[in-house]
Amino acid sequence: MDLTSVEIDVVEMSKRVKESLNFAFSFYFDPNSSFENVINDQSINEYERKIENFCLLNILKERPFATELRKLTGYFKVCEDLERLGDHAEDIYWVNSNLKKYKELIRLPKLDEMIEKTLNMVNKSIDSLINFDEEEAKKIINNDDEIDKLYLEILSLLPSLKEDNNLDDEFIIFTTLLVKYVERIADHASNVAEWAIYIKNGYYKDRYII
Amino acid sequence: MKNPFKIKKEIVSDDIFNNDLELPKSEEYPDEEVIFKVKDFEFYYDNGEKHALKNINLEIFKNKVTAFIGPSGCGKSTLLRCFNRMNDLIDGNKKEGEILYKNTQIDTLNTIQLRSKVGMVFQQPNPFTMSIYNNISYGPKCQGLRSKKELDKIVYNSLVDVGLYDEVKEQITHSGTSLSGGQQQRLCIARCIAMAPDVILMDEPTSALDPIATLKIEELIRKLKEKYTIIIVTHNMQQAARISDYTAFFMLGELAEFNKTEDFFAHPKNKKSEDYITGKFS
Repeated sequence: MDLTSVEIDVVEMSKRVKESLNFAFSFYFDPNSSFENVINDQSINEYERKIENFCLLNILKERPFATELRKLTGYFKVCEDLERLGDHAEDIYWVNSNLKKYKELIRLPKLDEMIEKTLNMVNKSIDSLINFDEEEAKKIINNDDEIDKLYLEILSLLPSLKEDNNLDDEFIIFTTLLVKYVERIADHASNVAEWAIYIKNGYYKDRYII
Repeated sequence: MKNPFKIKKEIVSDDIFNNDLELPKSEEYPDEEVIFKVKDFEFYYDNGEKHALKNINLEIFKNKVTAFIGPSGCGKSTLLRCFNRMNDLIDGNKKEGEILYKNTQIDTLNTIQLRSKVGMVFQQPNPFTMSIYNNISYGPKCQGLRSKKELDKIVYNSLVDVGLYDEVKEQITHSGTSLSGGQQQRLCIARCIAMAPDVILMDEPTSALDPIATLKIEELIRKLKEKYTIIIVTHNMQQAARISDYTAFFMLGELAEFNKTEDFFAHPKNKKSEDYITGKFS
């Protein structure tokens, strides 16, 4: 069975996801820039359909065993997490558009840190998937706890921040959404790394599937 | 051809008829009882010209299905036929090493006795040209059983066991060859189990059958393993994955890998195994 075409599609889809998220977060750090055109969720969705179709057809028609079976089932599952990451790039862009007017006034260092760490997780998890790098994938999964910790810290800061700086409710609402989306992105990045490990050895999260 | 009835120095062992005989446990798979043990086994055809099996070491476990897979000519059917000494009928064969059945060297056993405990089903269904009833009762009759009541019981139980009773109960006196291919193959399995064997050897038993008949045989194999030990040679990877508990993969006369079927098809230890099951060579 030739898996080259689906592997190329996974690489291409991953590349677009990475680009979309990097651009979406660049907009957070530089609100004056506009990257709307490069967030192309539609093309990411099309890759998801294409990869699903390839995997299901080959499970139906061929006789996948061992590494081939893990790749087909792993790609079938991981493209769902990649697609969600693409969706979140759009969400981040939309939230940032609404926060644009507050950026000159206030920044949250912990949120900056959370975003940088999450972006790093996304980039590395995708690299681990493409390079079948089990060790790198394991490191990324461990980083997720750090993101969850930052998420809770930022949420606990928001009420006092609002009061001390007399901030609008709108700022608090969109910042809360932004923090939540970042936390979700880190979760999906962690899932991508989990699937990278599964493709390598059949182990997913806490047990061997095959 | 050798005279199959030639009497050699053979023993008639009561041990192999003893169903309560304690079997040794496998060292590698401690939960399994070893019914056949193949040790340093070599097999040659043509007076030693063709080295068909090389240094085979293998255990067959009681009440488990073991699949033999591998490319054509790799020796899997040769080894299968060694278990009930079918290869003894071939001129010019030579073997070294040993095969132990219930801890007894099979070469020391009476072949008729051995073959009554280690039955065989072939690729092409081969019922005798006699009635369905006589096909099944033939073996027990040859063993000296004369009681009509006992024979009826054996025929009934064997047909029920292979799921053929309801299909043929109205035509029990009809010729076995009048049945469909799938039914004929199940009749052959019924004929085999009428002898109350311990082990059933199956050499590509479904390769001549349509998918529905194949499915019935596969279901039957799953059911039969509760009572019997089954060794099946198959070229169908999915069949091996579906029905067997252990898989032995042969290449060029050597045992390249023996593993639990789940592990074999998910995490083969040997690159040759992975290449073979994923169709990278044949």
